[in-house]
Amino acid sequence: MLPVLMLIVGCEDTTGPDDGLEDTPIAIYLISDADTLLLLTENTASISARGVFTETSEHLVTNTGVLADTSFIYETTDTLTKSIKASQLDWFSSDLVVASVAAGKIKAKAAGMALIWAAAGDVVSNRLTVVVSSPELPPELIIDPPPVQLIFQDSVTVSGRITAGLDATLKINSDTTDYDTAGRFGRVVNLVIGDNNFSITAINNQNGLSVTKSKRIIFLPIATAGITGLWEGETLTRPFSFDIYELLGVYIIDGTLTVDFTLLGGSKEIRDIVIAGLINSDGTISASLSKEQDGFVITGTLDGVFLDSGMSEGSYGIKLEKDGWPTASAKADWWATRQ
Amino acid sequence: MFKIKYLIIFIFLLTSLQGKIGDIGPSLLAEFRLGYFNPEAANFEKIYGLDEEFPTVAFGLGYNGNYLLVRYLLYEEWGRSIITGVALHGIAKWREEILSIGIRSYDSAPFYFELAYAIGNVEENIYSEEREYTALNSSFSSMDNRGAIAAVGLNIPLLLGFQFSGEAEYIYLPIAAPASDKKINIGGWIYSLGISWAL
Repeated sequence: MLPVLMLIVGCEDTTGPDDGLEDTPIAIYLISDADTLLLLTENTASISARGVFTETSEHLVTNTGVLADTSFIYETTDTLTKSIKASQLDWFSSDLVVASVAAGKIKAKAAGMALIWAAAGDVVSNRLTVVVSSPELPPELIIDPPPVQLIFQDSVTVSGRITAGLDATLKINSDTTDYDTAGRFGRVVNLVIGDNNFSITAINNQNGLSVTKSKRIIFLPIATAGITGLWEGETLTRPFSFDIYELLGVYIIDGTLTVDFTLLGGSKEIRDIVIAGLINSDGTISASLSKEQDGFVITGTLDGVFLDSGMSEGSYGIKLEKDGWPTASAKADWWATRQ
Repeated sequence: MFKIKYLIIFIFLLTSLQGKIGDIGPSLLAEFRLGYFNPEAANFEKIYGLDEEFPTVAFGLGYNGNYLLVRYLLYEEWGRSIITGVALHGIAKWREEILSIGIRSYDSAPFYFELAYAIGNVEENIYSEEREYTALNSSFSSMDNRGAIAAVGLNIPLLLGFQFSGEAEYIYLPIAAPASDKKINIGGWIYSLGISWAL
């Protein structure tokens, strides 16, 4: 059996929903603004779906001697993403007592948690979590991550979600905060230098039951935040490091990364991929990745956040390309601590 | 003076012990040859070229100009395997060794004729110029293959029992082709020059 390497290059179809499922998709994504839906019993929510459709071509690589020979097939795939009519999919719930689903419409039935997914043949979508509350229970409350964050500006938005449709009062510290019909809320809060702790409380107005969660935001002017210097961390079991320094009032991230790609059945190590970018006022890191080695062009992006002045984390995506070669890509998370 | 004395003794011994191929009675033969190999296998020239030497050593036990001869041939060569579908160079390594036992006759001196039974092994390894791409690595080996050798040569006596010869030799050594019922002959023609010494 010949080994196969998959390459997917994606493009987006923005022409609107498709009238029918003519071809079998290779992937199905349920569209939701969050992985967890918070619903009240007897309420409903509608979920839409998008599918990834492909055209695949096979490429044969051979190595031939007088007696010995070997071959390897890799696939390149052109992809098209488009909407799928909910009625064209099969829908499933892990707990029909908590929530049922049909043609993309979720009905919350009883307090509890259920997983919702859709399928077209053997292709199964991602799973959404549905948490159902009843009016007799405390609200469900989710705060957008990270729970601890370092930023360099004097205001930030604290956001999250509560159970949609619940008659509740939401407070951030002592300030009442509005939420929309889907249960989403967001409030710009002013910060003082140093630790800012926020208690977010959702109170069920019918029975007074409440739930409280917290978020810690550290505000430091970037010049005094203590983020400059050498950072060392790890990604995919590989060590990596970067420097943060100030230049003409701008804070720059400058480092290197080593990644192992899999090509033609073997490992291709690319060392010293350059990380270069900026530190943003909201405490996020935006950097690009680049390198040329052995005719390969490596490109990608790296992002992250500061958890405090000594820790940061994030993710990156990277691609390896060379004329006449199959392309390889990688995605991974990273973490680092200041030395 | 000391070194000259030992040189004189060595030459005296050689002169006493020398023989000539074809002499009446028993004799021993030792031979070294270097040849140009023209293999029959398809793609061999394309991958390995045809400009390398093929050394042979032989030892024989003879009587009245006919020898029971054992030959050992070793051929190793580097070449470039053929890679398609990716921009990469291939590397190939070939190793072939043959042991033969046969009869060589000098009855028609200065020509000689030889017929032998051959046993041979062959091994080929191919990979890309960057060996970490293991999908492009492959090996093939075939051991204990049986065949035959036929040779004709022209023998020119020199001094002190040494002989000079030119030879055309054909090796037939079929092996089972990989993933096929067909046979491939890993032999071919060897055109060689050699130095022999008879006792």
